[in-house]
Amino acid sequence: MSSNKDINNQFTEWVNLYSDKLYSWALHKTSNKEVAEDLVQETFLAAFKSVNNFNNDSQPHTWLFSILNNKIIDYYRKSAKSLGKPTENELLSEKATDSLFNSKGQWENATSSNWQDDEHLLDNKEFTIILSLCIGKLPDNWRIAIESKYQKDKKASEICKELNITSSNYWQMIHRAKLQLKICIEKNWNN
Amino acid sequence: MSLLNLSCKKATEMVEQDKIVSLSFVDKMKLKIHLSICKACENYEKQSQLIDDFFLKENFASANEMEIIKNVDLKENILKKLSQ
Repeated sequence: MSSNKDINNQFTEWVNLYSDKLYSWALHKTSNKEVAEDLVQETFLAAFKSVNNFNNDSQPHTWLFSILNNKIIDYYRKSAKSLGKPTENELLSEKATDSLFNSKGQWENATSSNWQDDEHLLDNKEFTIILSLCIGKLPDNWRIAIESKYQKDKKASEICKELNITSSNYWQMIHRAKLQLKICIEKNWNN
Repeated sequence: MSLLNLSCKKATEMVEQDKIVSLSFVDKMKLKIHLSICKACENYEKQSQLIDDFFLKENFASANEMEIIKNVDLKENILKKLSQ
């Protein structure tokens, strides 16, 4: 993209093509019309400012979605701060993940489940649907912690600060989240 | 198995710690030895990696199957903002 005019035309096209799709996704993830609209608007403004980072070989909608997803996780984290005391889901999930180990910290049942050995598991639609459902069932704090981990350009220290937790809390939360996903997958996935 | 005073609970936690803040050399070695002889923890490590890969794949499959909700006002607002 060379001139400003080209960029403007390009963005007009992208807004026309993708704004509804981005909006639907943001609405689905936040269940709040105003928030979803703000996030999509911010996404396009941020994209416009950083258009030089856009690699012309990649798909514009993939690029826009990754910006939007960053913004959604930022939004989650901001709202998580006000969550306060642990939810019932969090207490139950803590109990469930604790019970994987005995008092000495050894596996209660050294698992024979070996779903991880299937190389093509992530191409298996049935599996990815189960995994997505399991992620959706995580306690909010844990889900936000684990989703934050994959945010690009975000340092762990920043994430901890925004979530108001220490760094050891952070990896303990991710540890628990993964244990809970393991429990959920092993309950629902029969390979 | 609590090899070198490292329980499975602690070892699997260290798997996650290492991905965020690198472990010290000694802890890395302890973990490596533990994982090499503890099948259940080795399984955990692979499962953890698979979950990471899933998140990193930026799986928008569900976004593609979603019902599209039109929002004309939003579209116009964005276009207005961009042209300023």
